[in-house]
Amino acid sequence: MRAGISALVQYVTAFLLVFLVSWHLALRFPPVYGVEDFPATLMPEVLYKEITGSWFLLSLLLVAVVLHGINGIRTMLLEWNTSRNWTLAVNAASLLAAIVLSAIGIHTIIAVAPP
Amino acid sequence: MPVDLKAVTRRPPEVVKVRVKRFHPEKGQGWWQTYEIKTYRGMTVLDALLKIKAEVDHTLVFRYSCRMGVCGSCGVVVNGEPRLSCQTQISEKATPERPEVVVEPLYNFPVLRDLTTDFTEFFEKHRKVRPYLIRLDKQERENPALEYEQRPEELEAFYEYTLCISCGLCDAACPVYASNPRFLGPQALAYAYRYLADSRDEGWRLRLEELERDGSVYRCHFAASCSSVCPKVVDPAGAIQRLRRALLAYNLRLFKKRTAKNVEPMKVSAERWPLPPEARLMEGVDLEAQEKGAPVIPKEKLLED
Amino acid sequence: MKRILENRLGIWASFKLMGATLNNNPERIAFILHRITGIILVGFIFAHIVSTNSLARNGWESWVAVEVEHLRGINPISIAFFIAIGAAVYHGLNGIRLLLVEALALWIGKPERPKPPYVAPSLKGFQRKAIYAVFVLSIIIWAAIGYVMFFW
Ligand code: SF4
Ligand code: FES
Repeated sequence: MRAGISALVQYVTAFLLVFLVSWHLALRFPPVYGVEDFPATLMPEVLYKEITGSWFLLSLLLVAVVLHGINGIRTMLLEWNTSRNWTLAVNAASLLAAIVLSAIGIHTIIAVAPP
Repeated sequence: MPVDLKAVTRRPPEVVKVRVKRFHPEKGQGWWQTYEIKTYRGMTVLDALLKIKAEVDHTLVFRYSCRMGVCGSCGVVVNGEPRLSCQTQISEKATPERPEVVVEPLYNFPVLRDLTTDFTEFFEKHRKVRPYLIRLDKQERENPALEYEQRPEELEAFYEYTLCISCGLCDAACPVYASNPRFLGPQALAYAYRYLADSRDEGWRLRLEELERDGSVYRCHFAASCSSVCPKVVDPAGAIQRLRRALLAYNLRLFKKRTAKNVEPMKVSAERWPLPPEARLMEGVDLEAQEKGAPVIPKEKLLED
Repeated sequence: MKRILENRLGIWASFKLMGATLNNNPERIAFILHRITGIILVGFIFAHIVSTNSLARNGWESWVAVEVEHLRGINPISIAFFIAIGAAVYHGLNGIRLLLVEALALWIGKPERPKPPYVAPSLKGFQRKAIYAVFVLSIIIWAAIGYVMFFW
């Protein structure tokens, strides 16, 4: 069953990421904000509105990408070596990395100050 | 394994170098050895190996039996591609610019000697997926008195997967089987699907529960190398994706399967089909009598040599 | 002394372009690229999560000076972004194809009796055309993104 759950996580997050990443990239397209080039979409006023306005989508993107990426790397590492200790170590490291990275990302979203 | 008709029918280069990866268990090490042989049109890699064994080096060891792609014992890696050596023309692999054929033992299998590989693990994995029909009615399964009913389209659903000859080429080509010793491999999983899709089989709950385990369907990432090297077009890659869909449906409690009932054996009608009007019986032949026993053909009608 | 020669290719089978030596198998190449782009993306995105955190720690001034200005014009940072976006485009498009093929078993043809030229149904199915579409589309989209990033 555990193999099935890890695969299901991978498929569901993949499905979400298709939309979330397209959205994340599309927001950097200059005409979206009517600015002259792409770094201008990263200017404080624009970005602050974006982060506070769509905090939910951004955190969903964060969690989905962390789960998908770490689960993918974990699969590869477990394939590389199949000993028991290695499996335990990889699983523990994946869990730790997922928690730390999600925490850092969430911190970015909530601690951002108005420009 | 698609067949390139041009390549398999052209004349191979006059003299071809055969590079063989060898291993001797008593020396405990492997080495490469090159042989030069004269070729002829239609020569296969197996023919070349046999010719080397007969004329050049009789210590070369390899396995084969049928020489015609039926037994599945002659799998080797030819120029980096797992192939049946009896079904690979020299002309496919050796070109006039590069008249060389590189033969290695199958990847991902332990090598016993030279090109002979150990299939113990392969067949253990094959056994793990229960390659036999499971019926709920034990009594009937052990002492069958009835027959299974199966429609032609139900046969088509799994017929393709029954053609497997257990040659192991798919496992040799699989990138996941190469690194993960717990992965069952394309061959075993194709067999799992063959019995899952068989309408005579009632053990789907057991099969699907077992396929949920690690090292099974979810380790496949659809590189589809198994399907591209399979000499019998078994399509293990497609089978694994179908298994995965079945598992998804099973976990969502949606899996349904129509299983065949046991039915009375079909009555064979005793009537003889009428002969076509233009057919004439041989003189002195009694059809009615022949149906009862072995045909008796009058002696004078037999052709003499 | 070894009585038996272990002949497993190991994890490198997932990265070796053995796919190129196999007949009729672009799926293998797609698979290898999927793994490689996945690894690139994990490295990039985790660095991205950590580096955007400077927004919360150091405020907007340093954000504009350090992060945004480095994306203007051609320099190592913007090239890293460009490569990562290309990887994301390929990984995403191929991922859509894999979702349909792996999770739902679509596009892999129907089981059939072998007939010449002996190509397995899953290799003849629509997913094969989808692979080429993925290759072409990701290059087109990547080039378009490059235009927006560097020449807009
Ligand atoms: S599925 Fe094909 S390649 Fe694999 S063992 Fe069977 S016949 Fe050989
Ligand atoms: S010798 Fe039987 S398949 Fe090649």
